[in-house]
Amino acid sequence: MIREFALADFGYLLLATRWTILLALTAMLGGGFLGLVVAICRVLPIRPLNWLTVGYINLIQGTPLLGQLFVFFFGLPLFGLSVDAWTAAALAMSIYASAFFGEIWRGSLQSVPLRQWEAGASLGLTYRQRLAYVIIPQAVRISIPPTVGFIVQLVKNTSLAALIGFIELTRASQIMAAATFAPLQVYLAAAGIYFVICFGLSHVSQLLERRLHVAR
Amino acid sequence: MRAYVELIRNTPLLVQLFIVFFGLPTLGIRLNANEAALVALSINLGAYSTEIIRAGIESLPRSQIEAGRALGLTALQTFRYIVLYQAVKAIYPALASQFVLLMLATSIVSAIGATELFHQAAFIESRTYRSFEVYTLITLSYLLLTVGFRGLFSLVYWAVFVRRPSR
Amino acid sequence: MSLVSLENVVKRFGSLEVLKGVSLEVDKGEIVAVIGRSGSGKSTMLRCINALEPVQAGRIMVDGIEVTAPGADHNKLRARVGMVFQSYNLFPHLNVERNVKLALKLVRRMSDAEASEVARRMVAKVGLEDKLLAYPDELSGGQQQRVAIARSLAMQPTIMLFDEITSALDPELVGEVLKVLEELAEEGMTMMLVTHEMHFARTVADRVVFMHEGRIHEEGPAEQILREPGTAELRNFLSAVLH
Ligand SMILES: Nc1ncnc2c1ncn2[C@@H]1O[C@H](COP(=O)(O)OP(=O)(O)O)[C@@H](O)[C@H]1O
Ligand SMILES: [Mg+2]
Repeated sequence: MIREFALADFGYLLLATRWTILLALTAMLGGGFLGLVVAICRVLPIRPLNWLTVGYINLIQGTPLLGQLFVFFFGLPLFGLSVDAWTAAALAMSIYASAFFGEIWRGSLQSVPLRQWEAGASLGLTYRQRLAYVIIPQAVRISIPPTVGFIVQLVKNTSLAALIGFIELTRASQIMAAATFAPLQVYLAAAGIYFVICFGLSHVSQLLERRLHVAR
Repeated sequence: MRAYVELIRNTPLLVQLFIVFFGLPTLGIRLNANEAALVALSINLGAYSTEIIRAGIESLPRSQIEAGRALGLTALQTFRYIVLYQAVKAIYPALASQFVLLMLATSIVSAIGATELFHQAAFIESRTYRSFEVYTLITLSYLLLTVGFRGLFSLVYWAVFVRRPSR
Repeated sequence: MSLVSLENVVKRFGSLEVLKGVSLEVDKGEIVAVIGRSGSGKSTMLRCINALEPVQAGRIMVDGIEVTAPGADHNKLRARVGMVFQSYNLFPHLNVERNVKLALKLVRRMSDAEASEVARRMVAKVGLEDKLLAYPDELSGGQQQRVAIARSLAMQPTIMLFDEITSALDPELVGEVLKVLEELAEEGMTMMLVTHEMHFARTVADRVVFMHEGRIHEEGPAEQILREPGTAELRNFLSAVLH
C-alpha cells in the first residue's frame, strides 16, 4: 500500500473535491433559504419573534461548527433517524449558514438609506413597490461582498465534515496521506485546491462589486 | 505579506493544522500536538488580523494625518496622538470578533488530539457512551465562553472609547 | 380655491414641538419661498404636506385631497405632489432613464415605450439628454439634482416642493439648477421652495414665508418683505444670511 504521491493521487483528491463543492452548495442553498426566513423573522415588527430569532442567531454563531456537526451526527439517531455523515453535515452546515446569511441580509436591507424609502414614497410608489424596485435591488448589491465572503468561509468549513467521517477533500487527504506517507505533499495539494476555489470566489466578488452601482 | 494573508485566508484552518502537525515532520520539524496547534492558530490569526489592521488604517482619512502635521506635530506624534487612537477604535470590533471566531475554531484542534475541550469529550465518550449529551454540553459550554468574551470586549470598548476620557 | 392649505398644523417629535400651529394657503401657479433659520421647521412643513410625516393636530388639504384625514390615500397624493430633496435621492442602481421611468410605469401605468418617450423629454428639459444612460454615480451633484427634478416633473405634479435643493452643491453648480427652476416658474408651475438663495427668492418667488421657531413669523410679497422686513427676527435673519 505504501507508495509515492503521484499524479493519479492528485486526481483522487480532485475527485473528492466534488463532495466538498456539493456540500458547500447544499449548505448555500439550504442555508440561503433558511437565512431568508431568519432575516425576515428578524425585521418583522413582532417582538417575541425577533427575540427568538436573535437567540437562534446567537446560539449558532456562539458555538463551534464542529460541535454542531457532532450534535447532529450523534443526536439525530436518538430521534430514530438513521443519519449518515453526509446528511448530518448537510443539515448542520445549512443551519450554520442560515444564521450568518440571515444576519448579512438583514444588515444589507437596513443599510439602504432611509431617504431612498422617502424618494420612492414621494413618487407615489406603494410600500411593496418601494421594497421591490428600490430597496431590495440595492440591498442585494450591498450584500454581495459579505455574502461571497461567507461562502468562502463555508467552503473552508466543509473540511470539518471530515471529522465526522464524511469523505470530502480533507478526509480524502487524510486517507491519501496515510497511504502514501507523503503527508506534506498531500496536504499542500489539498490546500492548493481549496485556495483555487476560495480565491476564485473572492475574485469574482470583487469583479461584481466594481460593476454594480451601489450607493455610497 | 499579501501572499501570506491570501494563502491563509483562502485555505481551511484544519488543513493548515494538518500541514503543521503531520506535514512538517517530513522536513524534520517535529511538534507535539499542543505546539502544532499553537503554531497553526497563531499563523491563522496573524493573517486575519493583518488584514483587519490594514483595512482599519486605510479607513482613516488622510486629512487626519495632514491636520496633525499642519499643527506642527512630528510624524511620530501624529501617529501616537491622532492615528493610533482612531485606528484602534476602528479595528477593535473586527479584531474582537475574529478572536471569538478563533476561540470557536480551537475546537478543531481535537482533530490532532491536543488537550482541549473536545478532546476531553472524546475521552469521556469512550467511557460513558453518551456522546450526544456530552457533545451538546461541550458545545453549549463554548456558548458561555463566547458570551463571556463578547461581554468583556464590549465592556473594554465602552471603557476605552465610549466613556468620555477624564478631563 | 387654494391648491395647498394648512390650518393650525401642529407637529411634534416626542416632546419637541416643531410646528406650533402653522396656517398657510398656496394658490395655483403661485411660487412661495420658505426661508428661516436652520431648525425652524421648514423641512418638516414640506414633509407634512407630502405626508412623509404624520401631524398631531390641524388639517392639510392638497389639490382636493385631505392629507390629514384618517385613511387618506398617501400614494395618490404623492403621485400629484413632486418633491426634491437636498440630498439628491436618485436610485443608485438605475440609470437616468430608468430612474425617471420607474414611477411612470408603476404608478402611472404607462407602457415602456410611452415612459421612455416621457423620460427622454423630461431629461432633455433639464439639459441632460446626453446622460440618459449614465448612472447617478457618474454624474455631478448638479446633474443629479437636475435628474431628480426631471423625475418628479415626469409625473406631471400639480405642485412641486423643493427642500434646499442647492445647499449641498458646489457653488459653481448652483446656477444650472436654479436655471431649471426659473424655467419652471415661467411655465406657471406651482412651487414651494425652501431656499437660502435670497436673490433667487426675490426675483423668482411671488411670496416669501419666514419661519421662526415653528411658526410663520412673517409673510408677504417677496420684493417687499425682503426689502422692508417687518419684524426684528426677519431683519436679524436677513442681515445674517446676506453678509
Ligand atoms: N425625525 C426627527 N426626529 C426628531 N426631531 C426632528 C426630526 N426631524 C426634525 N427634527 C427637529 O425638528 C426641528 C425642525 O427641523 P427641520 O424642519 O428640519 O428644520 P429646518 O428644515 O428649518 O432646518 C429641528 O429641531 C430638528 O432637530
Ligand atoms: Mg431643512
